[in-house]
Amino acid sequence: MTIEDLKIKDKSFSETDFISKVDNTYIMLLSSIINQNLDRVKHKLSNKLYERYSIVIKKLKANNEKQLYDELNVKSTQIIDIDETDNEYIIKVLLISRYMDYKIDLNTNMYKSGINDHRIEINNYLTFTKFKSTKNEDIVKYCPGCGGNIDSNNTGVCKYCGSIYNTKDYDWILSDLK
Amino acid sequence: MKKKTKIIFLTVVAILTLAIYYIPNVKADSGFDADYSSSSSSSSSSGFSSSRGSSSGSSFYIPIEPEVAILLLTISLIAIIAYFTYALKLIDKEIEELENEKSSKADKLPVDEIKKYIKDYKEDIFENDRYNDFVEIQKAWMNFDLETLRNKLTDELYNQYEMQLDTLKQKNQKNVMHDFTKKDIFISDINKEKNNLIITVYLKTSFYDYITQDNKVIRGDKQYKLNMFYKLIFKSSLENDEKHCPNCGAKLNKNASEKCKYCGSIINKSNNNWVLAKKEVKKQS
Repeated sequence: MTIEDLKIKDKSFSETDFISKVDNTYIMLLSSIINQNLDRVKHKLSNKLYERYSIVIKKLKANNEKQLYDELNVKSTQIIDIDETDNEYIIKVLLISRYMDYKIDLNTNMYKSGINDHRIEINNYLTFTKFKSTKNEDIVKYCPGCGGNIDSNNTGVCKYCGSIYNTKDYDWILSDLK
Repeated sequence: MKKKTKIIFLTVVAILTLAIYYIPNVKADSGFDADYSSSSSSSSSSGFSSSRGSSSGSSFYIPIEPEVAILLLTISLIAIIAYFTYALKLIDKEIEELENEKSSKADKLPVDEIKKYIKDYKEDIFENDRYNDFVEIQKAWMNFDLETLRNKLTDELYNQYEMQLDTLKQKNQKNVMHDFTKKDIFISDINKEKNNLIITVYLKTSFYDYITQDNKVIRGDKQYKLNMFYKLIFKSSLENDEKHCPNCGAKLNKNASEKCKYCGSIINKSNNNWVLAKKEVKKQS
C-alpha cells in the first residue's frame, strides 16, 4: 500500500504528523530507558514492547548500571512499508539515529562500558500499528480515570489520578523495534 | 589513489614478489643444490632456465634465510590486507558522500506554485521569516528557553527538544551556537495535509556550534564555523484559530501548542503561524 492509498482509507492520516509522532515516540522511549522508568512512554507502546523494555531496565538495575544515550538525535525518518490486516494498519519505518551509547555505574556515575567520546549511527526499524476502529482524538485529551487534562505527547500518566492514557484507542502505537 | 598509498602498495608488492621469488630459490637451493649453479643450468630445461632470465642465475640470487623470507611474506600479506581494508573503507565513504550529495539536491519551487496555496506570498519576506524562525529556535535551544520553543515548534518536536535539553542540563552542558550566516534558502515543496499547509524548506547556513561543560569546550570546535545544509518542514493551519480553551473557555494565544494559563490544559491545536515540524541535516562540512 502507498501513502496515498492509506490517506484514502484513513482520512485522519497525515504523513508529517505521523513522522513527528515516530520521532517523538522514539526519543521518549530512549529517554525512559535512561531514566529507568517506562511510565511516561507506556501509553505509546504495545504490551509486548513494554514487557521487553521492562526486562531491559530490570537487567540494568540488577547490574547496578545506567544506560546513557548522549547527544541523542534523529537523523532521518522514512516510511518503508505500509500494510493492513482486517483490524489494523501497519507502518514500518526506518529511523536513523545518532548517539553516544554507554553505561555508567548507577551509584558512582563512573564509566563502565560503551562509546562515550563520539556518536554512532544506528539504523532502527520501527513498526507502528493503529486499529481501524480508532476514535478521533480531541485537541484536549482527557484522562480515562478522572477526566483531568492529559498532555499525551509528553507523558501518558495522569498527574491527578495516575491512570494511563490509552493511546491505542486513538492513535498509532509502537509495536516493534529492531 | 593517493601517491603515498600507491608507493606503499607498490613497495609491499615488490617485497612480496621478491619473497615469493626467493623462497622457491631457497627451497630449491636447499633441495636442488646444484640446479641453479651456472654449470648445470645450461643442461636443464631451456624454458625453466630462460624464464629465470640469465642462465647463470647468479646475478639475481640474494641469499635470504627461510625464516626471514617467511617473515617478509607474512608482513607483506598483512600489509596488503590492511591496505585493501582501508581502500574499501574509503570507497564506502565516497559512496556515502555521493548518496548524501544526491539526497541533498532539491529544486526550488516556482513562486506561482506557492501562490496557489499562499495567496499573499512574498518570496523575500517569507524566506527571511523562516530563516529567522530557524535562528530563534537554535538560540532558544542554546538558552534552554522552553517558552520560545513551545511557540515555534509542533507539540511533538517540542517534547523531543525538552527531553534532549533535559539530558544536557543534567550533565551541566550547553550547546553554544553563534554567528549565524544565511547562505541560501528556498522552498522545494508545498502541499495540504488534512487542514494544514506543509512546506519543505532547504536552508544553507553556517555557524559556530560546540558543546561546553563548566564553560570548557568538550565537543566540537570553537574556531571552526560549520557549514550546514538542512531540510526543514514547517506547518501552518488553514483553520481559524482556536480562540478559547475547550476545557474552561478562557481566551487563548496564537500558539502551536499551548498550556491554558487558567486551567492548565495542554491544547494541541494547529497554528496559523508557521511552526517547525522537522529538521533534518542533509549535509555538513
